[in-house]
Amino acid sequence: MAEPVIEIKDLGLTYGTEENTPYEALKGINLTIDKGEFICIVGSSGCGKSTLLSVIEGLQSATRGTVSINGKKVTGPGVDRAVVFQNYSLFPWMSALQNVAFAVYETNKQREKITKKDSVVIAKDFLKKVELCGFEDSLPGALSGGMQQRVAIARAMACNPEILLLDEPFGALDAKIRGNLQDLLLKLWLGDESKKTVVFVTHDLNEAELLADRIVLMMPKHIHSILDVNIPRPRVRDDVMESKEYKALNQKLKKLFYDDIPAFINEDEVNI
Amino acid sequence: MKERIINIPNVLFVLIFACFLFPSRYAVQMRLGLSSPLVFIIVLFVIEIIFIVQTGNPGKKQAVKDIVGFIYLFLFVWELVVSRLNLFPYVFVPAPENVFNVFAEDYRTIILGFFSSMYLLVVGMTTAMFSAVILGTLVGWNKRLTNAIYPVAKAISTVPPLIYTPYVVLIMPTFRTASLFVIFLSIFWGTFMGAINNTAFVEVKIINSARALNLSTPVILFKIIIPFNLPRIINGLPIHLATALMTLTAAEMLGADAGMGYYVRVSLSFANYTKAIAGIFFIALVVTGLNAIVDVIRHKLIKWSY
Repeated sequence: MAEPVIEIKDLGLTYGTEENTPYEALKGINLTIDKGEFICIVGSSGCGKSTLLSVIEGLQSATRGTVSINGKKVTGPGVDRAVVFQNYSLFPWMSALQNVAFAVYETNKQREKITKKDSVVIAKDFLKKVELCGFEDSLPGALSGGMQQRVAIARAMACNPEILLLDEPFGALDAKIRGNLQDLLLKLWLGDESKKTVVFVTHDLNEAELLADRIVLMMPKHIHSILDVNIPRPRVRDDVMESKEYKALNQKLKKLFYDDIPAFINEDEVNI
Repeated sequence: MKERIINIPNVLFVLIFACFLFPSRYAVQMRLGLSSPLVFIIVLFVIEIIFIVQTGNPGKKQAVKDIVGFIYLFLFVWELVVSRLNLFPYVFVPAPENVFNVFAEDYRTIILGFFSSMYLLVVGMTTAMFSAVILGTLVGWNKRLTNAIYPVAKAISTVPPLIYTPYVVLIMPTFRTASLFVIFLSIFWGTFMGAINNTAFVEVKIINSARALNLSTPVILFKIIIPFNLPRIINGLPIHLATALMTLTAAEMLGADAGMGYYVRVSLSFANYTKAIAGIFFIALVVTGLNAIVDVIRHKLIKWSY
């Protein structure tokens, strides 16, 4: 029934050339992600979760193994994927509207004909969806961090990719705004007919539990375990927090997350 | 209200006019060699109007007062010491009336010189800036080209253009091509190296953001990297302008037949210091005007910072 969209097979990535001592960032990663799935990759800093995402983005290439999307091997970035980065990565000389419209125009140009006017109409629509009416002409520098990430989400969604890749998008925001944006992201994702596949990297366990269908727990270099999240959708924050499934999952995840860390720290000490 | 009329600049303004009431020893000694003070008076009124208009701006009020006060003090002392008391040999230290009168007498030559200089400056600067930014961006995008070309550019750029200006003026067919060439070189290398650096070390998040959109290389170069680097390029303009002007006037002093620097040089070689000083004043005025224009361009184009 489920059709796989992203297939990662025996993926490995080693940094460094002959001159430097090689550093292994990823080792033996195997993961299959189905169409329309919401996957969260969690792990502590430096475990390679962002590196894994950038390989899926096509911004870095693996040294071993493959990532395929719909059966095609990934060799670089593509319009089937859109990315939201952690550090606000809007173009600072373009207004909010221009940022979105530029991305819509440039990515659609590669697939079909689109006029600049149409791209502006689409961009306006998506800025409305992320509740940024009235800020169309503001430059990113004049927007708060949360607003910039809203624009970045609008930009990614407006390009209408099959896959949405988010690299700790709410990592630098305060708890309240982070909550708002999590709700907004879920709403947009559920409301979208094309059922986008989402890969969301975070170090926040609660965020992962609220958002994901499956949680991929990474320990340095490799995938430690994959957990199913059986909380029914649509999820309402307060109800989810109170539910039994959530509490059980939370405990399990915390145990996995914190118990194994000392072992890995010891292992890392040898390398350093 | 009182403060707006009675202040140091205005007192000095009146004092300068008071000077005109006293007999001029300069005129006596030079047998009526003192020109009509009309242009000088016009200049004084222009300064006063600018002063009144600018003091309406509360943020700049004190600075404007100080600057205008200083200018008036200078003109007052000049008028008093030279025109009225004639304390210096009049051949070497001309009277302010005479210097300002040059603008009325010689305005044709001065304006022609202005256009000649501006043509060289604008053409030389724009071609140098455009070609340096475009070539530098292309080179900076390619690691191999960067590694090969940057050290060479660095070596060449250390030679000040003023050193080889005489030679270039000598070998080029016309003075115009020679000065264009020298101005071009004086700006090109620095801007070129800056563009290579800006491109090679452009912020990773901007490049990743652009690459994630799967943009083609020309789009990345011309719609992402150059706009991203534009504030740095524009911020370098005042320095480039100063360099270009220095090179231009130096070139004009060597072999031109028109221009602002040429005017000063010719006046000096005929020992006409009155004209030479007027020419220097004019250059200062033009530079100030150009810098103001650059500032306007900067504010129009750059609405964001890094």
